[in-house]
Amino acid sequence: MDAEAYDKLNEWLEMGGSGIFRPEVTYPWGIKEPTRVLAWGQGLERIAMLYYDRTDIRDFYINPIKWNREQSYLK
Amino acid sequence: MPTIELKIERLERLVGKKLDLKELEYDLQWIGLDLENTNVEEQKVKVEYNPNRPDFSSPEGIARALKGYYELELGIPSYEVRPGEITLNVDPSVKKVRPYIVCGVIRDIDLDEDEVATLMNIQEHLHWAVGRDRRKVAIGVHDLDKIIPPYRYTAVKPDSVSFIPLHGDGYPMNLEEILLLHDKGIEYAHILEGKDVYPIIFDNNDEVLSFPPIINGVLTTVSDDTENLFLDLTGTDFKAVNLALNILSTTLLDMGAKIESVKVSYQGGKEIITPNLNPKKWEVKAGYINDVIGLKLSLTEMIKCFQKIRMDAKKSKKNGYLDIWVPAYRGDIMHPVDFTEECAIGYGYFNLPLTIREGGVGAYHPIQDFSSKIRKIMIGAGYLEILNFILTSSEKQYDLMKQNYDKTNIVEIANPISKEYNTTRKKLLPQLMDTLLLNRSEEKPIRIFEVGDVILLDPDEETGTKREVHLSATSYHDEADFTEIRSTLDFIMISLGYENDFEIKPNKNLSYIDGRYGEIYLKGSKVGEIGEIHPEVLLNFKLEFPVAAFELNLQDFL
Repeated sequence: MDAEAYDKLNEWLEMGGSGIFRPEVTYPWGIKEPTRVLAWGQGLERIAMLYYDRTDIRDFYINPIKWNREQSYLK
Repeated sequence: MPTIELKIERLERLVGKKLDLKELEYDLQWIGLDLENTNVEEQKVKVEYNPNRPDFSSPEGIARALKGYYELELGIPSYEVRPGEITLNVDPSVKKVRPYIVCGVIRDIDLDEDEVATLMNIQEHLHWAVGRDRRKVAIGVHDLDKIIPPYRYTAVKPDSVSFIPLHGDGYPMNLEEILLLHDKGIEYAHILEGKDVYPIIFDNNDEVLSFPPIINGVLTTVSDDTENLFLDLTGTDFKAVNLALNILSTTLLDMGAKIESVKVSYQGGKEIITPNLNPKKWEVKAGYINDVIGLKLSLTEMIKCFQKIRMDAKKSKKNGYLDIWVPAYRGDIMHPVDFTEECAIGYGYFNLPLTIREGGVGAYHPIQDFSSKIRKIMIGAGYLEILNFILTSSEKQYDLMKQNYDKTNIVEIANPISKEYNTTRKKLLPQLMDTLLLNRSEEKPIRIFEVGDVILLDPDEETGTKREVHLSATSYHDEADFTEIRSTLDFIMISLGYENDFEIKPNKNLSYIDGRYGEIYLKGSKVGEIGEIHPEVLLNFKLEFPVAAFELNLQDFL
C-alpha cells in the first residue's frame, strides 16, 4: 500500500510504501507461516523539498555547504 | 511503470455511470491504480498501473474493475468464445527457435478512433510488460479476409523465404535482408541471434502473414475497411502468450467484437483451442485470508469481496474453504496469499480498521547506535556532516588519490550507466575530497565528516563482498595540518574512553605526505589512517589549501 499526500501543488505526492512480504520471499530467511514480516518505508527527500522550499531534488545529493550553514534548526 | 490516459467521458460510457472527477481520483486508487495527474479542463486522468496487472492497459480493463467496485456488476464478466473453423498447424521445427503460438479470430469489428488507439496502445504495453520487449511474446494483428486457411507456423532457413514486409520499401526481402536492412529487423534482430532457422507464418497459398517477432507482411495490413481480424501470438513462454491473447481478446469483446476460436495443432503433439477464456479454479482457506488481513469476515462476506474484484467465489465442499475462480485475463495470481490482497481490495482498504499493535519493540543495531554517537562527537568537534553515495568512480576512488589498483581486485559494476558510478567505495575519504572540490570557494575553514558504508571484497561471504561502517573527516584551510587533525582524533578517542588504548605508527601512503602520515592502532590492531594529503592529490581535486584527514573503521570499535 502506498502512502500518498496532497501537496502544496494540489497533486498527489507519494510519501512511502508499505506491505506484507510474500511468504516465498521470507521463506529462504527461515521465516515461515504463520510468522509474517510487515514492512514500511518512507522517502525523506520529497518531504524535505517541501519543508526547505527546494525545487530540485538533486540539491540534497551535492552537499552544498553554503546552504547547509545557512539553515536554521528552528525553521 | 506503465501509465495510461483515461478520458472521463469514455470511461463513463464503459462503466455505465456518471463519474465525478474528484471521487474518481480516490476510486481509481482504491482499485490499485496510482494517480499521476488529473486534467480538469480536458476531463482526463492519467494513471499508473503495476506491471503485474497488464489487464489494466486499456480503459476497458479498468472499467471492468470499476464496475465491480461500484457494484454495478459482480463476479467474472461473461465472455463468449464461438467455436471457429480455422486451423493453424505448428511444425515441430519451431521448437528450436520460438516454440509457442496461440491465435484468435475477431469478427465484425467496428472500432472508433479511440478504440483503434487503445488497440495499438495495448499491444505496445503487452509487448513490454508481458512480452519482455517481444522476446517472450510478440503480437501480430492481421486482416483475416486477405488470407486462406489453414495457416502454418514453421521455421525456415533465413534466405529461403522472401515477402514484402510492412513499413518497408515495397519490395520483397528475404528474412536475412529484413534483419539487416528493415528498421524493425535491425531493432529486434538480437532476439533471433545465433538461430539457424527463423519462425514464419504462411497461409494455405504459402503467402507470408508474419515473420515473428519482427514484422508482418503487407498482405494482411489492417485498414479502415477491415472487418475481421486474425491474431497470432508467438513466444517462448506458453503461459505468457496465452495471457496476452486473453487480455487482447477480452478487451476486443468489451469493444463489442465477436471472438472465434482457432484450432492450433502442434504436429506430433497436442491440439489446443484458443483463446481459452475459462476461469481458473483455486481452493483457498478462508481462515488464512482473515488471518493475513486481520479481519473476521464470514464466508458470505468474503464471497462478496471477491465478486467486487471480478472473481467468482462460493463455499467449497471442504469446510472453511472457498472455491475461487480467477478470470483468464489475470496473470498475477500465483499463490494463495494473492487472494488475501484481492479480498482486502474488495473489502476496501479504507474500511480496514485502525489498530495499535502491541509488542514488537525494535532497537538500533549496535553499529547504528555507535555511529550515532560518533556523529554527535564529530558535530561537537565543529565538523559538518555530509552524505555521499556508495557508488562512485574508480577514477576518484583510486587514480586521483594516487592509489594503484588492480581491476581484478575491486568491485566493478557490470553495466554502469555512467563512468561516474562504475565501482563501490572502499574508502570515504576520496568523496570527501570531491565534496571539498565542489565547495572550495566557500568560507574556510571547511571541516566535514561522513559516517557511512564501504564495500570490501571478501571471498568468505556469500556475495563475495562485505560491508563496513567507516568514519572519515577532513579539515581544509590555509593552516590545516597533522597537529590539528590529530587533536580531533584525540578528542574522539577521549570521548569514547579509549585515550590510553590507541597509538599512531608512522608509515607511508601515496595519498599522504611522507613523514606526515600514520596508521591508527586500537589495542594493537589497525583501525585507520591519518595525515596530511599529498600536494599532487590536492591538485587532482583542484584544491589550493592543505587538507588534513583521517579515516577510521568503526566496526573495529564494537
